[in-house]
Amino acid sequence: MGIDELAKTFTGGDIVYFFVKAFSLVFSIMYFFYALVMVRQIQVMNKALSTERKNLFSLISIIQLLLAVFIILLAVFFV
Amino acid sequence: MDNLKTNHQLIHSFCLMPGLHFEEQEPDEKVILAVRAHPVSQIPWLINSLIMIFTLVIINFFLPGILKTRYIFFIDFFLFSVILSYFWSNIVSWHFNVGIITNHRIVDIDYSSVLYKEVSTAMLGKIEDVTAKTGGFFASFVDYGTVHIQTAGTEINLDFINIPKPTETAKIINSLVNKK
Repeated sequence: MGIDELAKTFTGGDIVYFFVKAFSLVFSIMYFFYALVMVRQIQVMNKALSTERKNLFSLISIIQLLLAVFIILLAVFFV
Repeated sequence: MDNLKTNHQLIHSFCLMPGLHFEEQEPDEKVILAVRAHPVSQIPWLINSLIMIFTLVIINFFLPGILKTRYIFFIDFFLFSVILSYFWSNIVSWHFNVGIITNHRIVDIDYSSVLYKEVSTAMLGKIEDVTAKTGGFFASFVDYGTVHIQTAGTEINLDFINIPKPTETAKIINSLVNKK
């Protein structure tokens, strides 16, 4: 099966759609893992160095994680 | 040193009596000074962020002829999130890359590229020499530079890079070392 036939199987013939969908899924998942690592790393950093802004840093990292989840949802249902 | 008051200068890059705590801090240990890189030394990544946003705007002039609107919306949204993440990870690196001077020791916490952590410590009694270096027109103009702390024997040497007021920092460390 060639790439054109494979694309047709998933997309009904639109090769651009196939590539946009594939890349958006892959990159959104990568972004999610990056955001997850950031959340974990900020927890570790806040433990190593506790300042009055530690809650703000945790909050922003969680917002980034939620943004990553939203991007995955966009990649799955919107694109 | 006992009559110092809490004072945060240059967007929290030079904090006297900052009231922060670190993991290995002992109960009777008092943080006297916390230093981060001077805000001026953060300008390159701020410019990078602006260039990335500008490039994204330029790309948007060409995309409508190639892709459907909803693809463009997703690409814009995703790339803008990536740029924000770049901005955010640099702020995190700057905030957590900190030099701490206490009444017992000097601690250098390094987080390079967020995923790598290194904590180096030198006891005040082991410090042999403190050198403040300022080089270049810009660094001299806004007063930032590097403080090199040399310790005795096989103990690790510490470097506080691009910190504000390097001479004042060296003076504070020297006065603490002399007290010991």
